[in-house]
Amino acid sequence: MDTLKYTLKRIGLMLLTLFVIFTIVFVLIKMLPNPLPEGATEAEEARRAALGYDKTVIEQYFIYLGNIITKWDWGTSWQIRYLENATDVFVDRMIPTIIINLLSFIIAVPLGILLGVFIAQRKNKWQDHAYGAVIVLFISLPSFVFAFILQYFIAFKLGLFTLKAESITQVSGWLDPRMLYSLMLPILAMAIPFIASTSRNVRAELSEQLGSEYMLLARCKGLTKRQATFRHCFKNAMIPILPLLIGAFILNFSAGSIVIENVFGIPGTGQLYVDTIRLLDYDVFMVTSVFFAFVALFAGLVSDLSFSFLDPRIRVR
Amino acid sequence: MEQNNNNNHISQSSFEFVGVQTKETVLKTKPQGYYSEVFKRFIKKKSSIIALALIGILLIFAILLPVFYNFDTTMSEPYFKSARPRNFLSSGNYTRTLGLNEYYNLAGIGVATQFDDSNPDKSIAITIDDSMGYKYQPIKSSKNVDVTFMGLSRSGKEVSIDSYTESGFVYMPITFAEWHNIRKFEIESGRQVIYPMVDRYSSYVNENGELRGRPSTYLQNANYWYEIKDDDSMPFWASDANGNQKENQYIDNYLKFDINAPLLEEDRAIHEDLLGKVPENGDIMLYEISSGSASIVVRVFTYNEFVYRHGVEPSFWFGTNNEGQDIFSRLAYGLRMSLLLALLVAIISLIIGIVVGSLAGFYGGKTDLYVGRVQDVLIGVPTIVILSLIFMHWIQTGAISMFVGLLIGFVLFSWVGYARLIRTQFFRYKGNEYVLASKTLGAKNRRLMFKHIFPNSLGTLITQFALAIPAVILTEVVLYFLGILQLSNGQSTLGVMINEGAAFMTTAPYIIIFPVVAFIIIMFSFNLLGNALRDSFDPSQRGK
Repeated sequence: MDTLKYTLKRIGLMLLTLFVIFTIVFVLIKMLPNPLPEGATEAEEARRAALGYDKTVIEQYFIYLGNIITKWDWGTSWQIRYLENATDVFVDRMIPTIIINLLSFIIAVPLGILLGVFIAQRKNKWQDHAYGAVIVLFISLPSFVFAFILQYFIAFKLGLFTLKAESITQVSGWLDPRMLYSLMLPILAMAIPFIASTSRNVRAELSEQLGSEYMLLARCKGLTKRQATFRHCFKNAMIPILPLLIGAFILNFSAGSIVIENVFGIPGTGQLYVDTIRLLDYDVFMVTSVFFAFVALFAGLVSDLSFSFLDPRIRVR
Repeated sequence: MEQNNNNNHISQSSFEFVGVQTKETVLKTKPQGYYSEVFKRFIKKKSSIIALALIGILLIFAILLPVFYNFDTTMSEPYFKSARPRNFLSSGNYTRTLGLNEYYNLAGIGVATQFDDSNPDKSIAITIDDSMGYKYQPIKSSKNVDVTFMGLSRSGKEVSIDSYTESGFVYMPITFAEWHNIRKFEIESGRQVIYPMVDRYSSYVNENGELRGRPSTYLQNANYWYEIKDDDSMPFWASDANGNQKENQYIDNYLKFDINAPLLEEDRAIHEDLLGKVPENGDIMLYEISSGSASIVVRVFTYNEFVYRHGVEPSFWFGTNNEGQDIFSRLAYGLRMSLLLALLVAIISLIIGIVVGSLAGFYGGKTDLYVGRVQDVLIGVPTIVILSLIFMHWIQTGAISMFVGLLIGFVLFSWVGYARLIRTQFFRYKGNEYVLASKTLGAKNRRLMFKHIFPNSLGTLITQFALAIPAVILTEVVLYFLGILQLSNGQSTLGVMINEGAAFMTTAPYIIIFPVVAFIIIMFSFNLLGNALRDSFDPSQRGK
C-alpha cells in the first residue's frame, strides 16, 4: 500500500513538473515575434485566429491548453509541413528515431553486459588493465565522435555501409534491408559509448559481488566459479544496473542523439527538433520539447521506482 | 627494615639501564591528514598525470602558441581555401588526379610565375620541365595514370599539388594608389606580385585558319595565360626554329600594347601616372585600363599578393578551411572560449549549488521540498530548449553577448547537480554524533553547516567540478554543431569547426580532424582527471 501511495505521489509530482515545464516553454516561445507571413492563405489566417495568435500570450496559453485537454490538439505546423497537425508531424518522425535507438540498444546491452562480466572475472589481470586504460576514452566521448570515425574509416576508406542514411523515398520503408544497411553506422556509433558505460557498470558491480562472502560460501559448497557467478553474483550485480538500463530503454523513445541524426541525415525527431528551432515552427516545437521532457521525467521515475521494486532491501521512505 | 635502609643507600652508579621494554611501537611516520593522503594518492596515479599533462598541452596550445603565430581568426582568404597544413610534419601538398588540360593549366602557373619584366622573351620560352622544382610551381611531382570520367578512359596525371600556390593568378581591380604601393613593395621585397595581363577579348586565328573569339575561360580564369584549343582547353605548343612543336612550351597570350589603336587622352594620362611613360608598341602590359573608371585591372599572383598584404608568407600550421579561414587560430580561440566558459560555469554553479544545497540539506522539510521541485523543473526542461530560447530572446536581439548568454543558460541548470550532491551529504552527516556534540556545545547553525558538515562533501564536489567542465563543453559543441547557436565574424568554436569539416570529410579530412582531436583530448583529459580525483577522494581507499 505504501508503495502504491509513493508511486502515485511520484507520478503526481512528475505531472506537476511537466506542467510547469510546459508553461515555461510555451510562454518563452510565444514571446518571440510571430508576425503573419506575407501571402498567407485564408485557411492559415483562420487557423491563426482560432489559436488566438492576435491575442496576448496568456490568452493563447489558455486556448492552447483548452485545445489539448478537449481535443488533444497540439496546434499546427506552419513551416515544416504546412498547416498539418503538429502531433502528426511529430509522430511520423518518431519511427526512424525509435528504430535506430532500439536497434543500438538491443546491440549494446548484451555486448556491454558480456564485456563487463568477462572483465570482472579477470580482475587485476592484463585484460582488466587494458580495459581500464581505454574505457575512459570510450565513455567520455559522445557518440557523434564515433560517428565521424566510423564514417571516415569504415564507410569512406573501407567502403562498407554508407556515408549517409538512404532517403526514405528511395526504399520501400524503414525496415527495408537497404535502409537498415545504411542505418548500421549510426546504430553502431550510438552503441559504442553505451556498450562502454554498461560494461563499466557491470564490471564494477560484479567484481564487488565476486569478492563478497556469500561467493566464498557458494564456492565452498562445491559450485564452479561459473555457476556461482551466474547463479548468485550476477543477479545481485544487476540490481543497481537494471534500473539504469530501464531508464535508458525508455529514453530510446525520445531523441537518442540529435547529432547522430544530423550527421547521417536521418529524418528523426532529433532532426525535427533542430528544424523547429531553426524555422521557429512554434507548435511542433512545443510538442517536441514537451514530449522530450516527459520521456526524460518518465524514465527517471521508472528507473527510481524499479530500484525499490527490484531490491527488497530498499524500503520506500 | 635494615634491608630497606640499605636500599636507600645504593649508589646511582650501580643501576644499569636495560633499555625501553614496551609492547607499543613508536610511530615513525608523521601523522597524515586526509587531504595530504588524497594528494599523495592522486599524484601516484598514472591516469591523473596523463590527464594533467593533456590539460597542460591544451592550455599551452590555446593560450601560449597563438602568441607565436602570424594569423588570427579574422583572416578569410578565398584564394587560400582548403590550404593543407604546413608545419614541421606536413608540407602543405596533397595528391589529386587531374585530366591533362587541368594538369597543363596548373603547371602553367609555375611557368608563368617565372616571367621576368626585364627579360620577357627569355622567360616566356621556359618549358614545364624547366619550371619543375621551382618554388612557385604548384606541381611538385607527377606520374601518368588513366582517368576514368563518365565511362570514358583518358590519360591523366596523378600529381602532388602545393595547395598554397595552387590558386595561381587572379584578376583584381585595384586603385592607382594601390598600384604604386604594390610596385614599391615589389622592389623592396624582390617578390613579383603583378604579372602580365592576358589578352582576354581580341579574336585570333586557330590552327585550321578560322577566326575565333577568345574562349570564355579566359574571362574568369587568370591561369589561362597561354593559347588554348577551343574544344578541349589543351594548350597549343610552341614551335622551334625548324617548325617542330616543342613539347611543354606554352605560347603566351599576354596583352601587348598596340600603338595603332586609338589612345584616349585620359588613358594616356593614366599610362603616364602608372609607368611614367606611354608604353611602346608591343610592350607586354601589366594592367588593363577600363575607361572612365578610377581603377585598373591587374593580374596578381595570389601567393605574393598575400605576402604584400600580410607581411609574411602564407603558411598555416593546421591549414585553412573551405572559406580560407585559418584553422589553428580558430581552434585556439574556440578552445580558449570553451574552456573559459566551462570553468566559469563550473565555478558559479558550484557556489550557487553549495549555498542552496547546504540550506536544503540542513533545514530539510519544506525548504527541501520546494527547492527540490524547482530543481526538477530546471533539469526537466531539456538543456537545448533553455539555451536556444536564451539565444533567440537575448543573444540574437543583441541584449547580451553570446558568452554571457551561454554562461547564464548553463549556470541555470548546472548548479542543480552540485546542490543535490551537497544536500545528500548533509542528510548523511547532519545526524552524526559529532554534529550533535558541537550543537550541544553551543555552535551556531552556520558553524555546524560549514565547519562540521560541509568539509565531508569536498571530495565529491571537486570530482563533480572536474566532470562538469567536459559536460558543458560537450553541450556547447553540440549546439554549435547543430547550428542552433550562430557566431558572429571573427569568432569560432569547436562545434562550428566540426560542422564545417564534416562536409569535406572525404576530400579534405584535416579540416575536421583537428577540431575533433582537440575535442577528444578535452573530453578524455577532464573525464580522466575526474575519475582520478574520485578514486583519490574515495574514503575506502584510506591507508592503502
